[in-house]
Amino acid sequence: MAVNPEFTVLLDVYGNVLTEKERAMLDYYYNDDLSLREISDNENAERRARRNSGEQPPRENDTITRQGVRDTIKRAEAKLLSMEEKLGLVRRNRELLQLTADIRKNAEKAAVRAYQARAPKEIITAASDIDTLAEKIEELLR
Amino acid sequence: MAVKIRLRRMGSKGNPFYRVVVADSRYPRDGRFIEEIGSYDPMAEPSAVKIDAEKAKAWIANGAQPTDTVKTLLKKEGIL
Repeated sequence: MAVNPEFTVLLDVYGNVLTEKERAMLDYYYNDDLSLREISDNENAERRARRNSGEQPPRENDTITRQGVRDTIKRAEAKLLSMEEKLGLVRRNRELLQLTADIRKNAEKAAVRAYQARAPKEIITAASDIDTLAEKIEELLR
Repeated sequence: MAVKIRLRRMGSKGNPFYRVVVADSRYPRDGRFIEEIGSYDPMAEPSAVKIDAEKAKAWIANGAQPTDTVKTLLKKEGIL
């Protein structure tokens, strides 16, 4: 996963389309760096606790294997990818951030150049206002 | 006590950033850790890894288990 931070971001953006269980498992896997084994052990301990406290009636075969966790994670990842394919929010956000960064760079350059050239004050103010506005957009996008 | 070297996510929504920490493997989720030995920023281009090589080696020599992800990072940094 170190190679691919993509799913972490997709989980942040589209996490709400997943079931609670899927979201929790991806969270363990990507944000806490737990192994599949640790996730299944955790989950089984929780289920055992719920059964022992009488919160849930005993059931047969109520355990999840390491492989079961893997399947759940793979399925959830596919859901996230298909959301991004349909909506493209992550890619769009990235492009918008890039553009705002370019706007800010240019606005700063314009302000400095205007100052050096002793341009009228309104021009310098306008350029730095553009920078401030772009910064606000940047914050909204983050 | 089994000790692991793992990543822990910090950073804001949509902007992940990780700490490399040494932690007790029995409580992977409670946020406590024994020592922070580095950081990993996957969003930087190229991704930025910073790990204290001496500490990492010392912990591993003492039996700490790095997770697969951390192992990859350590190899990339030439520590393993």
